[in-house]
Amino acid sequence: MSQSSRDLVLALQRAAHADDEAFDASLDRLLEQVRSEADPPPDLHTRVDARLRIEAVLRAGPSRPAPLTAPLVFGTPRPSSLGAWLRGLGLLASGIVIGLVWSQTRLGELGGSVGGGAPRASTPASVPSTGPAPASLASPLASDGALASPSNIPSLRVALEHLRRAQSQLREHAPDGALATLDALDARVGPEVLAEERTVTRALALCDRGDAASARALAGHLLERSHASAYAASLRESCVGKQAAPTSTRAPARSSTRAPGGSAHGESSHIARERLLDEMRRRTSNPSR
Amino acid sequence: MPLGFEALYRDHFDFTYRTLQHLGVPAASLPDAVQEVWLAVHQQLNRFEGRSTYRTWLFAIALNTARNHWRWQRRHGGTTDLSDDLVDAAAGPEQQHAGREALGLVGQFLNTLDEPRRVLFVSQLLEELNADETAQLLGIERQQVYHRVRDLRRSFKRWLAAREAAAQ
Repeated sequence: MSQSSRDLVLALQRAAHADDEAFDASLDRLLEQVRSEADPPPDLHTRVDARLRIEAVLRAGPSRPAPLTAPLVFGTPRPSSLGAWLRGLGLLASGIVIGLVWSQTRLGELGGSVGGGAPRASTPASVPSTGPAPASLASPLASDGALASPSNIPSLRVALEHLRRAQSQLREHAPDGALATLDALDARVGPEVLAEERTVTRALALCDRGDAASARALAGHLLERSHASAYAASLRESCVGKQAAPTSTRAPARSSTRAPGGSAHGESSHIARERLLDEMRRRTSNPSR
Repeated sequence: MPLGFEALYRDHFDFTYRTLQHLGVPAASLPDAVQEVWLAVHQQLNRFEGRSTYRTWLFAIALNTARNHWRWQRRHGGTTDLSDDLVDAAAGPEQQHAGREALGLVGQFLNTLDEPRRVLFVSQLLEELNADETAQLLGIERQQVYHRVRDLRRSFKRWLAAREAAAQ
């Protein structure tokens, strides 16, 4: 019968008073346990896989259609085994599915279209929405096997381009412009595409406008699942995570510094926002820069 | 025969995750960090010359990635304690990560180590890399690896005894 993690810790603590040989034997048993405890969460493999594929789409460049059978990664034709990895409609479509799952959808709901590498969505997949969107918008996941269509790649690309623009506007202290850009994105691309990034960016824009209540209403749920959101830790430091955010943290337009006389809280939120934007930029920018 | 990216990713994804975690990348940053590792792997795979094992090569990439995260955190005013999550996991017998007490305990000890000793502990005791390649990673002789690992074990023992004494 195997010992529990706690038992192994207690045994090691006892062995700390024994001779070196006994301690080493106990330590080796504990380290064996540590290896198993340090394994990644079950879904991380597919989540990172999806993000690598998003990077692959990015590398294909905004003006070129992403080839379905050629290697996509970094836009560099590369007859390597990675080309095979990414090659084929089924894999690509599955990657997009998983990429969208990364954006706050539930894998279980998509099992039918992901499983077995079959990209065809013969039945509409149910995807939870994280924000309002016109009912007439066709979700990339919603109909007629659209996941198998290369038209979804431009959708992802459009979403990324809009997100980057909105984030640039935030950096320029133009939250209204950022919100308009996000509205334009909502009108073009279904809400589940990069949903988390869109939610966080919109929340930051609302913070900048001094509307902390709306920001919290929009993104507060991300704080409740820190292990699922890569942004939760930083988001917690923004106005979304500040329960008593009394005033706007908005900096003057075109100013690269915080508002004169800004509070410590304003400074903290400013840093948090910059950190969040950095995180999103890292996740959606060229890693080879 | 060289491994393709897919096979490498499938076989070594968990290894890179564990390595980053043990090297002190906080849990919230692990998905980003592991992604960075694999992007770098892809970029460099065609230049891999087979002079080390894949595991050692991946370990070196993970180490560089962890260093980048440390620098980024320091620059952005983040915590300087690089394994808060592990520390929290070992905060006490009723800790929130129940069932992973061993991981928490080792995480606490790792946080007491400087970088070279931490790298040595992770590479030799946790991931059991080849001693020659660990020596190469750290720029030391193979024999020194053995000596330092033995010292690390003794340090762990002393640390445990001191910890227990302090708790009483």
